[in-house]
Amino acid sequence: MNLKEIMASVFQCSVEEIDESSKINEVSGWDSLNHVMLIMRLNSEGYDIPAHMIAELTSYEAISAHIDRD
Amino acid sequence: MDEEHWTALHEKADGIFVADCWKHCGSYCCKTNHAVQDFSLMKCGSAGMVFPLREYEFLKRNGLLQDGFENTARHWEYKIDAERDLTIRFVTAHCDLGGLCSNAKWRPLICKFYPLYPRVAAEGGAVESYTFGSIIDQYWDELGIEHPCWLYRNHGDEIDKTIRQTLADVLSHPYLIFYLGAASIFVEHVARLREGRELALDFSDPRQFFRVWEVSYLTGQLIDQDVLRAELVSHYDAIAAHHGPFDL
Repeated sequence: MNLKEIMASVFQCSVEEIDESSKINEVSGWDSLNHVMLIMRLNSEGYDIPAHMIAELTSYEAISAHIDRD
Repeated sequence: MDEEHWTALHEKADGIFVADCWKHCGSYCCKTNHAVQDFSLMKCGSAGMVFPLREYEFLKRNGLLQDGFENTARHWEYKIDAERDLTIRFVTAHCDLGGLCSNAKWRPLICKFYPLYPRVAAEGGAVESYTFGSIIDQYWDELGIEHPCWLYRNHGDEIDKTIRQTLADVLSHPYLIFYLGAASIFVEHVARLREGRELALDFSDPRQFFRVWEVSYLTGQLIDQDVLRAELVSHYDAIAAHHGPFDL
């Protein structure tokens, strides 16, 4: 699954609702609890997102940039 | 609890001392908008709602939910005793109404009781103590910041008196006694668990405190599941000793 598909799965929204401008609390289902669930899911998929970055990676753009660097 | 009981509880809780409190605080409880609440993840400008499942179902069944609650409602189950199949069921939702309730008379109990959540004696009726009505409110004292709620600061006695005098007969059902107590147990558990844990919670810097607290809380670092479950089971057993086993 790509990042948008993972996010849609965690937030239980459609992939179409997620784009490059998407941010926490602005997408259906992307609230603080699901944000933590997303980070856990990405780490379980093999990405490395340390705890101190949880509060920084709050947009699709930021998450995408981080996992591209990973 | 039947319809009559839920209705009576809501109607009586609607009479808890309020006195146009919103005029004094900028609707703090509805907006989570204190200047030091520098949250990155929790939505500011709104309020998190929590309902025992049966309260949510009562409100929904009778068309009494506030606007927007159904869209953000999420159902949770938390098993506290696998052997006896004791499972807490509750619903969370976001309120974006900022104090302008679409149906103020039927706003949730969590709102009606705020700023003080009663902890009722296991046998029912008598209020034993109160806990703060929001998990975030546990820390103002230690942070050296005045509690943002004007009602709490100025009219705590009237609130206490109203709750004790008018709600004693409806604070009697074991389901309600359990869930009011469970909320208190959870809030107090989170507030005290930081002791002994290596968390960078700096009370001398309130904005920093809330930034670190937010992530610690959301990632479960402020909850010891085994201890919390044991506390909740003990709470259930104390109530069941008076009322017999009851459904959660």
